[in-house]
Amino acid sequence: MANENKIEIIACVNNDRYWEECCYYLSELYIPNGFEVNITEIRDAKSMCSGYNEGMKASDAKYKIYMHQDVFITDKWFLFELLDIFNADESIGMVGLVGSVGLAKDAVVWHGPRVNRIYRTGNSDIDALEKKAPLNPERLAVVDAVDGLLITTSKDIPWREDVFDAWDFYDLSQSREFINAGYKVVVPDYERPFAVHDDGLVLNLKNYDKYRNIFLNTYKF
Amino acid sequence: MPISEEALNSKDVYREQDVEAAKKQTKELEDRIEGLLCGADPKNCLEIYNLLQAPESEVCLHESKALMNLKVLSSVAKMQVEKGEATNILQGRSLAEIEEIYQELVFRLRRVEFGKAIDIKQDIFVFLAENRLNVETLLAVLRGTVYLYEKDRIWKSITEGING
Repeated sequence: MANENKIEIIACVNNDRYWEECCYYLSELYIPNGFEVNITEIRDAKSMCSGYNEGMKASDAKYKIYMHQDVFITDKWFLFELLDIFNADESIGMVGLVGSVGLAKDAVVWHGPRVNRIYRTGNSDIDALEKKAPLNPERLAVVDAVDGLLITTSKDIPWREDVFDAWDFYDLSQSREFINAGYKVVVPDYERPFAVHDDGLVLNLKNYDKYRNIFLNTYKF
Repeated sequence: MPISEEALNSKDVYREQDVEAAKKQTKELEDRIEGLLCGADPKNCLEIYNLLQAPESEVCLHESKALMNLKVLSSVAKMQVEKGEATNILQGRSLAEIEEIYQELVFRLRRVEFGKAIDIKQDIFVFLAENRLNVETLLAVLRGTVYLYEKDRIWKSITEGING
């Protein structure tokens, strides 16, 4: 039985200084009354899915935040906003910070419009290519997929470590798993960003196409 | 299904051979700069500055966060040497050390950006002193980094913290 008043934060960690900085921002967050927040760091994960499954199985928390070590949550009210979203609609199973409103047929996320309201480092090549979705007046966008920089869930569905055994497309896969299970996947659409994503200037896409094809074949997208 | 020609030709998806060539070129430049950093002549920083300004270094700057950050700091070092100061912020440090210092400064500035505590602001100046850096370095990082968002507000915030 899941603990309804607990939030588990799970991250795969391989850089101590980034993780320390990430935890600094986590320590600054306001915690909703009656809630317990626990942080689990996964070291030496074989893949993102494998690490996240390990963290998921070890925790009884109803709410789980799967995040990258280079994401710094700057909005101190973030946990409150998150619970408000989940409480407003029981069919919402996953909340992200960046999401695709209508994933492109080739599953390249920046080929379709995205809700992207985070502070990010200046990769001008990607920024120039990206089509930003217009601001949603209802402040909540239902999306086809979220970016793995931060994913929150209110239900436990196993990550597909049997298929996505590296570091690409685990996020789009998990979004499809939730949608196929009948849950909505959403992104809060506020003008003010919730977090910084300090992911550097270089996007490592070495295995991107391999896992993109696996994704397309797995989900017949 | 193979990736489309359009996608392959765009800058967003690197072909493997492009990645390997860029990494090799970057490593060569990093090694060359590492050698200059270890050299005894403070004026080596002028050569480092010129190397990083050269158009052919663009791909390396895109590949290496350390080189990108060094580009910012080398402008301060150049200024120090031109003013005849005996030491500069680069000399005697390795590329890894410079990268670490730069990252620390960015992390601390970002805490100012998103925090309110005055001790965080003072902490930055203690860090500068401990690492033989000066306010010009801090200004260069503020101006040059792509990792900060509201630079004017941060600077105002820091100076208010110190003066207040």
